[in-house]
Amino acid sequence: MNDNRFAFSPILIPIPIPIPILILVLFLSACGAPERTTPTSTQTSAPIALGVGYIPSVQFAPLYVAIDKGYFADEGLTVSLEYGYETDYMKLLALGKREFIIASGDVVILARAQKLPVSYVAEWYTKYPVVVFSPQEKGIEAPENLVGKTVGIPGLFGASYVGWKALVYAARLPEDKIILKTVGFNQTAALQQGQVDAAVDYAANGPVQFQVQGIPANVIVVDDYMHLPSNGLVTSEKVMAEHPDRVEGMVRALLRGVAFTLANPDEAFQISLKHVPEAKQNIAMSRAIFDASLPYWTPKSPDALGRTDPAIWPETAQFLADAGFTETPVPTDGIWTNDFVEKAGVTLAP
Amino acid sequence: MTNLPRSLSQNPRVLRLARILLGASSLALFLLLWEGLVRWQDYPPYILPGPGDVWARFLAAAADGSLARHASITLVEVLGGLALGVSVATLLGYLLAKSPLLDQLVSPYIVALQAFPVVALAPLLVIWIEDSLIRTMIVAALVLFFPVLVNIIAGLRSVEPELVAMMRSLQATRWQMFIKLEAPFALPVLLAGLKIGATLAVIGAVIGEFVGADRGLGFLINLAQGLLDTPLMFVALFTLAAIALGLYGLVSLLERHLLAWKRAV
Repeated sequence: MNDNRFAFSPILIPIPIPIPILILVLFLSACGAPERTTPTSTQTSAPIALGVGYIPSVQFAPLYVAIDKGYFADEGLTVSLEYGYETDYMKLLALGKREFIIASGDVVILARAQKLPVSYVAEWYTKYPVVVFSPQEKGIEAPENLVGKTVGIPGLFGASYVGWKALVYAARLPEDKIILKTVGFNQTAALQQGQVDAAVDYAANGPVQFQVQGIPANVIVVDDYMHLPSNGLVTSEKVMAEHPDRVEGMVRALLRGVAFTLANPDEAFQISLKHVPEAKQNIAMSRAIFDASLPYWTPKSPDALGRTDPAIWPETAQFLADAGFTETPVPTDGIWTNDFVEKAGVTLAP
Repeated sequence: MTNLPRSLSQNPRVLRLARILLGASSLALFLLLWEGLVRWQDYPPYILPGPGDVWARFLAAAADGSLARHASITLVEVLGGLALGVSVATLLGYLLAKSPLLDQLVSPYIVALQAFPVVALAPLLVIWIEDSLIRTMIVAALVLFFPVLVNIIAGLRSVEPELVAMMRSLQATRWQMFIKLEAPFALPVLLAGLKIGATLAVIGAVIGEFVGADRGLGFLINLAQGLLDTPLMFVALFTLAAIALGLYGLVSLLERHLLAWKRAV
C-alpha cells in the first residue's frame, strides 16, 4: 500500500469512498436473490421447498413417504425438501421466502421473542429427542447421578443445550457441581476416549452408535423430566391467513406420512433409503437410527396424532426465560394451533 | 489537494486532518447507506438490523461484560495462533529457502495440507486436542501458515546474489549473513505476510470456535444464530473486524518503524 490516499493512519483508516458503495452493491445483490413468492389465490400450485434440518437422513422417513406415496400431490402440493439450519429457514419463513419448515417448538418460541411472525401448526415429534447417555459402567441412571461428573455437549447453543438446560431445570441439578464440556459433534468419541462421563445427544444418534457397537448404555431422556414442544410443521401467520387450504393440505400430508411410517416401518425405511442412498453403506446403523426414531413419532393415542399439548407451551416459555434464553416469558397465545390438525382429520389406524 | 499551495499540501498536520475527515465521512456514508438500505427494503432486525439496532445490542453486550469476555478470549487465541503460525512458518521457510532438496521433499506435503479444508479438520481436532484454547490457536495457525510461509520463502530468495557473494567475500558467518543481509532484505515481504496472517488468524480463531468452544466471538455468533439474535451476530462480526483492523494497524506501525531505513534510501 504505497498510495498515500489509502495509506494506513495510526488514527483512522481512511476507507476509500468506493468501498462503501461496493458493500452496498454486495448487500443489494444478496438481498435481490430470487424470491419464492407466496402464491396468490390464483397460484395455488406453486412448488413448496420444505426446510428441514441439516442433512438427508432416514430420520425424515415420514416426509419421504409423503412424497413417494403422493400424499402431498393428493393435496395439490409439489413439495421438495431443503436441508439446512432451522434458524436460517425460520428467518426465511418470517420474511415470506418460504411457506413451511420443520422446526422445534422451542425455536418457534425463540423466534417469537425476536418478533418473527411464525406459528406451529402440527406436531411431528411427540417427545423432545435430546437425551443424556453414558456407558452403563458409569452408573449414571438418573439426573442426580450427573452431579460431580463431566458431561459432553456439542455446544452451548441449539437443541442439545436447550435439552440439557431443561433437564437441569426440571431435575433441579446443581449446575456448579457438573462440568459441562464442549466436544463438538463428537459425543460418542469423547465418551469412548474417557474425556467425559456422559454426553448430551439426540436419541437417534449417540445411543444408537453405542448400541450398534454393542456398548451397553444408560440413557436419561429429557422428556421424562420436562415436556418440550418438539419438531413439527411451522408456517407464517401470513400463509395461515391467506392460504389456510395449503396449510391444511401440508398438515394432512405430513400426518399421513407419519401414520403410514408407524404402521409400515419396513416399507417406510426402504422408501427413505431411496432418498438417502448413502444410508445403504451402513444398513444396520441406518435401520437402528430409524427404529430409535419411531417412539419419538408415536402419539400418546391414535387420535392425538399431530396435536400439540397446550399446557407445555407456557411451561416451555417460562423455562426458556428462567434459563436465560429469553429476557421474559414469551406469550404463547397464537404461537401454536391444533386447528389445522383437526381439519386434516388424520388418525392412526387402531 | 494538488491545487492547494505547496506548503499546505505538504503540511503533515493538514494531511493528517484530511485523512481523519476522509475516514470519518466515509464511515458516516457507510452508516447512512446501511440505514437507507434497511429502511428502503423495510428489513426486519432478524434479517438485516440497522445501525441503531446493532449499536443498542452492542451497548447491552458491553454493559453485561459478555462482549469483553468473549472478545478477550478470541484475541488471546488470535495472538497465540499468530505467534505459533508465524514462528513455524519462519523457521520452516528459512530451511526451505536455503535447501532446494528439503524444499522438493517437503513442499508437496505442505501444499497438500493447505488443500485440506480447515473447516473439515477442525471438528477432528476437537477429539485430538481437549483444550479448546490451544485447539483454536492451532486452527488459527493452520489458516495463516501457508500464506506466511510462501511470503518468507519469497523474501529470503529475493536477496540479490551479488550481495550474497559480497558477504561471502568478506567471510561473513551464516549468522551474520542472516542478520545483516537476509533478514533486512526479507523484512518487507515478511511484514506483508504478517499483515495477511493477522487477518487470517482472526478467521482461523472463529473457525476453531465454531466447532467446539464455549467462549469467544465465534461462539457468540453461534449463540446469536441459535437465538435468532441477528443484531448480536453483527456486534460479534464488527468486533472481529475491529480486532483484525487493530492487528493490521499494529503490523503497519511496526512496518513503518522497521522499514524507516528503506524510505530514507
